Parts: sequence; C-alpha cells; structure tokens
Amino acid sequence: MIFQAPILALLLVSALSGATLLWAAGFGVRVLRQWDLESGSRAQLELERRTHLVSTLLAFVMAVELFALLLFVFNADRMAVMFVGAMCAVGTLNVNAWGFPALYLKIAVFFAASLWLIVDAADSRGRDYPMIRFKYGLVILIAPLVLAAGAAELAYFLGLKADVITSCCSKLFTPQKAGLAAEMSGFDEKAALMLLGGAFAALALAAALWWKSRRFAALYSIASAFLFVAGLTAIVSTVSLYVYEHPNHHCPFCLLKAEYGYYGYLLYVPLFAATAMGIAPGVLSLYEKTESLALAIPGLMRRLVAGSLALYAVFGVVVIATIATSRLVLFG
Amino acid sequence: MTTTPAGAGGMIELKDVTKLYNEGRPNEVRAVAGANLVVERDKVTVFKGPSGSGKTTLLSIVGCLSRPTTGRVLLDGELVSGLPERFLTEVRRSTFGFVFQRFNLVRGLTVIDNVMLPAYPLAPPHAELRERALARLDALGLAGKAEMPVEHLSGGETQRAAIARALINDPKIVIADEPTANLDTALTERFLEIVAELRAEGRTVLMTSHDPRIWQSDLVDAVVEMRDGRIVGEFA
Repeated sequence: MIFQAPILALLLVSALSGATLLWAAGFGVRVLRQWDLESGSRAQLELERRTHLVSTLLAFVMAVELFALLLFVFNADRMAVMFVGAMCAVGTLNVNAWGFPALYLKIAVFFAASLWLIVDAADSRGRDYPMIRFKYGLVILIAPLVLAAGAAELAYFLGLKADVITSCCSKLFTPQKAGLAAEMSGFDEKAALMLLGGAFAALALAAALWWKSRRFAALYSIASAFLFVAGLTAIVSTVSLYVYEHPNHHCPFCLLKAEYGYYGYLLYVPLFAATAMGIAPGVLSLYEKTESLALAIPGLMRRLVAGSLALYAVFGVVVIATIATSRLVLFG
Repeated sequence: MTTTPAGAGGMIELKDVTKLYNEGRPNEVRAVAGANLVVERDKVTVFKGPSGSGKTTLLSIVGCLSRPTTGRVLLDGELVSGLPERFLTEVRRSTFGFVFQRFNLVRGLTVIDNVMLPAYPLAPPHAELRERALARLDALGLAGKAEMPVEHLSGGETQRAAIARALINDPKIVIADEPTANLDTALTERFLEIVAELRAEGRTVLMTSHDPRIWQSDLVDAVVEMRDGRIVGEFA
C-alpha cells in the first residue's frame, strides 16, 4: 500500500525536510551561541557565509511543507476507495491511530513553516541580519515538529491495511459522539454563523486599528487565529450542511471530494493562507523598531495584512455564496 | 601618507583581514595574512609586490568580490564584508568599477554594448544609458568606435573601453588589477592621464601593479608593498 506515488512523495518530503531541519537546527544552535556581528573571527565569518546557504535550503523545505499538507489531504481523500467503510478522507485517516495525529501535526508544520518563511523574508531585508537569532530559534523549535509529523506520517502509512474496516465520517462528525469533531458538529448553526460574523467584525476592527495607528499588530494576529477557529467551526457545523444540502451531514472532508466539485479547497485554501499571513504581523511587530528593518517591516506588515484580508474576504464570499445558492433552508 | 593606521576613519578600512584558499587541505594557501589598512578617499593607491604576494586577493576583498576568511572590511564606516549577499551585490554595483587585468570585455558585442552591460541590472532607460555610455567613450577618445566589435580594438583601445565600462555606474572607487601589464610606455602614460582625470573627478583609485612606471609616478598618492600575503610597507 505504501508504494503509491503520493505516499512516496510525502515520505520523501518528510525525510528530506527532517534531515534538513535537523542539520539546520545544529547550525541554529551555533548561531544562538556564537553569533557576534562585531567580531571578525573565523567562526563568525563562517556563520555569515553559511547562513545564506542554510536559509535558502530551509526556505525551499518550508515551501515544500506547505504543499505537502495539501497533498496529504488530497491523498487521504483519493485513497478512500481502497478501504471498506471509508467514504472520504476521514475513513482513510481512521484506518489506524496515526492518521489524525499526522494530519494535526502537518497543519502545525504548515503554520510554523509559513511563519518561518515570513520571518526569513523580513530578516533578509536587513543589512545586519536583524532577526537571525529569532529565525534560527524558530528552526530549533520547528525541527522536532517536522520530525514528529514525519514519524506520525510514516507510522500512519506503514499501518495502512486494506483489510481494515474503517469508520466513515458520519460516525465521527455527529453531535451524538464525544470529542472535538462531535462538539463542532453539534455547535448550533445560528451561533456558529454569528461567531463567524463576530470574528470577521473583530478582524476588521483590528485591521482598522492597525491601519490607522500602526500599533497593536498583535491584536490583528489574535483576531486572525480566532477567525481561523471560528471559520473551521462554521464549516463543520453549518457551511457543510449547505454544501451537501443535507441537515445532518457535517463532514469537513467530504467537501474535498470530486462529486462536490472540490468545493472544500475553495474554503480551506483561502482560510489557511489568510491565517498564515494574518498571524505573522504580531511577530514582526517585535522588530518594528530595529533600525535596519525600520523601512522594510512596515511595508511587509502592510502587505501581509492586506493579503490576509483579501483571502479572508474570498473565504467570506465563498461562505455567503454557499449559503445563498444552496437549496437547504435552515433558518426561517 | 595616504594610507593611515587602521582606526583613523578612512574611506576603506581593513581590520585583521586574512584570506585562505583551500582551507584545511594540504594545498592550503594563505593569500593575505592579517592585513590592517586604511585607504583615504579621492586618492590613488597602488599595491605592489611580486606575483603571489596577495595584491589581487586583497583588491578583490576590498572590492567585495570575495569575502575574507577572518577580519573585517569597512566602507565609509559601514561593515561591508559581512553583508548578506543581496546587499553586497548592491554595494559592489553602486560603489566599485572594475578594470580587470585581461579586461574581460565580451567578444561578439560592440564596444558600446560592453560599456552598457554593468548598468543593465539597474534598469535605467535605454536611451539615457546609451547617451551616458557614449559620453564615457567620448571622454576616453573612443566615441568613433562605439559600434565596432571589441575584438577589433587595439590593446590601448581595449583598455580604455574597459575603463569606460568600469565608470558606467559612476562608481566612487575604481579598482584596476595590473592595468598596464600589456601596454607600452606611451599607452601607460595615457593610462596615467586617465587616472589623473578620475582622481580630479573625485574618485578613489586602487591598483595593483608590478610596473615601476605606475608606482613611481607623481600621480600616485600611496604605495602599499606586499610580500607573502603581508603588508610590509606603506609609502607616500
């Protein structure tokens, strides 16, 4: 079962990413301990020469990790036909105990990698490596996460047995069960939409506040994270019902299927990308007053806020269009 | 003295600069060993010494063409040897003009195309760039040969085309590596006249040379003598 192109590609990405991150984390420890731009020592100059190479390789690895999440989810959905009881990615992920942990870890890697790429982009705009310690500190934190995601993924793929009878999404995303999925499924539809509307309002307020004062970027990041949670909750509890035009089908993974026109990608890609961009301004604001970034950071933050707002708007429009065009009537 | 002790705050400062090639291997070469130097602005400085003494390596470090193994290079007080590559490229492009020993003009291109080449990454309007290149060639007596392929130029003309190319981005510092190595006396004198014009325009000129006609010239403000990778003397 493991000898399938997407699985081999994912395992290869994880192996290469893990090895690169491990090596880069070792370099990161040296940066944290030895970096001293005032020094002209051999060790310092070697770090300066190498940091360009390490950062370039890491940027490539992190970018690949972003697409690996997409491939992982796409592959889980694609493989549903191979397992008895599986109707969508949920069934595939439920074949063994490692499926969902692998997915959650890959989501965590997605956001960590996005943040690192943005920090790297900011750092490269400074003449004196202004964020280098923070950047490599992040690498040291991300490395175990990538390794854990890779290990969970490997355990998951090795544990895929075709004779396993798995549970489909209706067993997981139902208010009758316990757990987070059931909680989200059971969330009142009206409350979920109000929560989403409130999250959009909070985000707009935080954006306006930041745009006007160029302060409180952290608020925008918190509002972004909140909107992400509210968005996922709304998808599971309400939006999915409108897509399926069925009052009890809450699965957020069936949305990814061809028979629903891959509708889920229209919802998830803007939501995930917007959140990845939205959480970064709060981090970058810590370096706003750094002299060598004084010109670069505000522009970068402006582009991130504008970009995330645009993507959240796409997500919002897709949600509204879904509700407006569905034949399901939930309210009134 | 044009060159002054490190720390005096000149245009270019070298602090304990060392450059090793093939580091850690049996054929390791210490091309520059612990160079400390300050070069003042708007002066002509010549590095002299036998082949293998480290002149060209030191000049390539000053010109940000290579990074030192240890030590620092400061340009107008700013640390440049440690700059990230993208900024180093900017500094190199905007601050330095290079005249290489073999001139390195691109065969198959016309003289004016060669002169305009270093300005392309800065993307100036083409008409303006062409005008600027023609003005440079005119100042060096090559305007009439602008459309000629470079391989048709004589030795002296090739050198002047290389100088015009070095000046196209209006650099503050001109670096020339053995610029008169293949020139006769008359052409060497013409070259020295050009250097005098560059200094009069307010440019700093750094050269390496074996040629006594260069480092004994009245035009030269300072001579730095190198031997076995070390600076062994500095003379006015």
